[in-house]
Amino acid sequence: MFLDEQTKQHLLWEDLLQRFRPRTPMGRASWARFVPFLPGQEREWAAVLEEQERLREAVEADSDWGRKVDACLSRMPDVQPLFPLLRGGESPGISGWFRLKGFLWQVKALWDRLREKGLHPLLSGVEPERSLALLRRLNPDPPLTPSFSLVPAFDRRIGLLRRELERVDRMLREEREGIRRRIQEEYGVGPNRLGEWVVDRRSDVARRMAADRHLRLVRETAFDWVFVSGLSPEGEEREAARAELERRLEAVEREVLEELARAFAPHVSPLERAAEAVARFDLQWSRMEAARTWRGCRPRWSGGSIRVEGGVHPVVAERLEREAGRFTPVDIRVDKGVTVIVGPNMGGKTMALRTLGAIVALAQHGFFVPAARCDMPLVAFVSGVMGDGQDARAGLSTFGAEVKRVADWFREKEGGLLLIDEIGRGTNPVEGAALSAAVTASLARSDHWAVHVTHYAEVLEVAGVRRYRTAGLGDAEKGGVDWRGDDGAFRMDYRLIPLPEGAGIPHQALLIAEAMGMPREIVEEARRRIPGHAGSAAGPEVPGPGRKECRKIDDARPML
Amino acid sequence: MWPKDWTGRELKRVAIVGLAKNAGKTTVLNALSKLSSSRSLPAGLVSIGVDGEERDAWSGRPKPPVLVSAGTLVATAGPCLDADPGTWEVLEEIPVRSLLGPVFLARAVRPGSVKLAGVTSAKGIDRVLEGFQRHGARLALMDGAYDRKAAAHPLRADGVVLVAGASAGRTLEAVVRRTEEWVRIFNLPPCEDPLLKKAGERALLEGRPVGIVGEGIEPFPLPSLLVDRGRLTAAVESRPWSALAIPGALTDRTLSRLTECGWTRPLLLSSPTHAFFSLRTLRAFLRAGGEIGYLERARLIGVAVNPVSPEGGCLDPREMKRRIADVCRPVPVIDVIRDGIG
Repeated sequence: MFLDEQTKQHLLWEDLLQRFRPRTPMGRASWARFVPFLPGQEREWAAVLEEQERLREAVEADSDWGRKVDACLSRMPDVQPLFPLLRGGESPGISGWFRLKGFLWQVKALWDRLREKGLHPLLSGVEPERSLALLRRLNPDPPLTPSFSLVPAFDRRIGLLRRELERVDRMLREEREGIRRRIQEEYGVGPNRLGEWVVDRRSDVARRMAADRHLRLVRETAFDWVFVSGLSPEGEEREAARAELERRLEAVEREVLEELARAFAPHVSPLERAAEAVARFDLQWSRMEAARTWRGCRPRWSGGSIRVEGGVHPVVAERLEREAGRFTPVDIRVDKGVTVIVGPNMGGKTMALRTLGAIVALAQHGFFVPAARCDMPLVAFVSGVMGDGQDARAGLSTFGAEVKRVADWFREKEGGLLLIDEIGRGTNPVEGAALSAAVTASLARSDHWAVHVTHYAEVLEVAGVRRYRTAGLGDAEKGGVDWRGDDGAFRMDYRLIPLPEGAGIPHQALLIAEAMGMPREIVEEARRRIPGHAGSAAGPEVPGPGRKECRKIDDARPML
Repeated sequence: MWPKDWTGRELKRVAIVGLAKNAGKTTVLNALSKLSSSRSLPAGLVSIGVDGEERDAWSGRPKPPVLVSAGTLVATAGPCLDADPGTWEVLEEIPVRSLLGPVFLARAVRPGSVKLAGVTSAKGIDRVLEGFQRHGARLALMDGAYDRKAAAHPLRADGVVLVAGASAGRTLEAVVRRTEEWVRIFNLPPCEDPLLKKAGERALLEGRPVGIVGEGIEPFPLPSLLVDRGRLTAAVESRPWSALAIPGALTDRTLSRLTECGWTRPLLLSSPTHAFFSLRTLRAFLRAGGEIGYLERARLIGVAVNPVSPEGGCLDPREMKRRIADVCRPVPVIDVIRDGIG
């Protein structure tokens, strides 16, 4: 699986995809079956991105054209359920034919629009001449209109029978009108909408009407008598003729629909290809439009490292903007092996992981990515151990669930992007640090691209890892930088900066604790307990089992 | 005689609302549709919701089909059109679902009948009405399912026909009483006070009750009036309120509680579709000195009576019409079966 459910949650994947809205029913169905581009599919991936680049250029040069293309897609009806019917020689109902006509209409319109910009090859699979010919088959009476009905041009008998039916109806109406006038004149009552005369049974009119041989009592209630009038013998004949005309007309209409079904049966495969082409184009269009919302850049293939400059997580950036905040873009290079990120709590380490993961996942799903620049290989999967991975159903604690996921990675045959937020934090610090360093050392020799956010100094000592720190409070721990903003609020620099060789873990947890309201005396007490700290009561060596080896300085549970 | 302005030009959207199940709305819909067609004003027919009525309340026979003349527009599901393919020109598929599937707009090319698949959402109805307008309907007729007052919302309908059927009560007395209650509550006056109207608009915008204190508009301390008597009393006494605008429904219980709390000042509801109190409770409130008005109100343009109940009972049609006319005056009352329409 390229992106498991837990990783999707960590990357806010569903929220990201809210901006991706395939316009057509076939596009939506196609997306549900979509799999991301994987190693070996670099050429197809590049082609998809190349197409989007051309589409974006066209839209940005002519927004009115873009709106028209969007309208064609948005009006595309769902024709997929019709294909099995037609293939089996069965006729859809009139609403089905209307949909098919609407499909051909919109496909032709879409093709014409794309041709205006020389982009019609993006709709390969559509045969415009065939679409037009089929459209005309469903619209035998020029001009072309988007509606559908069984017009006489389908079969001249339809026109003849309808005219005859109208003539008979008119004669019947005239006869009924004559009867209505006679009854109105004789009895002073008119018929209801059922052609019945309802009169008070106690009235004199009711008695007189009952005696009228042309009227028949068909119903009575406690209050009313209900009469109907028969027609003349000629009228009865016309009524019978009418029923026969209706029957014949319905038979002809059925014949026309069956004939249409036969005529369309040989075209089902080309129509299916056209629907697939529309689905493919729709996905491209919708990806392009989604990426425009985050001003995406085209990711480029690189054989080795993942390099992101100015990377942003659009969902988080939007939330921050609502709160008058600003997302600090992420610059990072991740080579095969392990890249370690250290930094203070709340310094943006986890967000950097999320952003990187989201960018790589979006790129492999064929999107332009929310970054100023992105070069990357295709990875086999993206998986993360971030935050609380407790799996209550499996009876696993956070530590257990995370270890299980990491163990699974070592069984993977192909390299994936691994996002690790402090492995080992769910257990005692000594063993946690040891495990964290051991996992890092093993991953450093693997085919994965692993990014490990940690507070353990031991991890930094693993050979061959690339190191970053979040800028955090800068040199605040040395007392040289004012880490409060003008408004007195906490001021954190979320940038990722390379950590120089030999540099250690920044010590800013106590500053942050103080800024977050921890009583000063507790913070001071904590400082005194740090071995080697000026004024430390503990001294450089702290006796007691394990204390000396454990050099995890900051809080064991990093926060965002 | 049906008043001439019933389907005059100023009425573009008429809702037909039943007093009870099997009231006979379809018959009234057919009569109005026929009238519209006879005046060469193409009608658009849509049903709101599905109420499962199977028998015709007027004749006891299977429920009458909705009849269409050539040129009549309908909004219904595909299968309902497919049943009679030669009758329809399918115009548009709109992004609205009915219980029978997606909704299409179609125009009858010859007389026929159709089953109208009920559209269940207010947004869906709005889309249908827009579609009718796009395709040239001059009169939209909305067959509102039993107890669905939504069809009568003033933003949706500019006229409402109430169908008072014998199915609404066991006796003529009961039917007359229910009709009177419905009409009296529906016909409460529209608000004339500009400040209170402004408060009503703000209440709708903010989705919470808003009151008037002096010349100012202030939010009522409670986001909803559905609270216990103590909290309601405290809120009522918190400020010298002179009126209160309520954005949602006003139930019988809430109106009783307000009366008990000593609220005797004007109340403003957004429309009659939000009035869910009984005439008895309303009377008690009015007697105590209170007033209730609406921000917007569709016009009740008529009451159609149907003396036949599908359960077999039949009221005296003339007596029913006379008694209903007495309690509905000046709203015209018609018996479409006996009198015809138009």
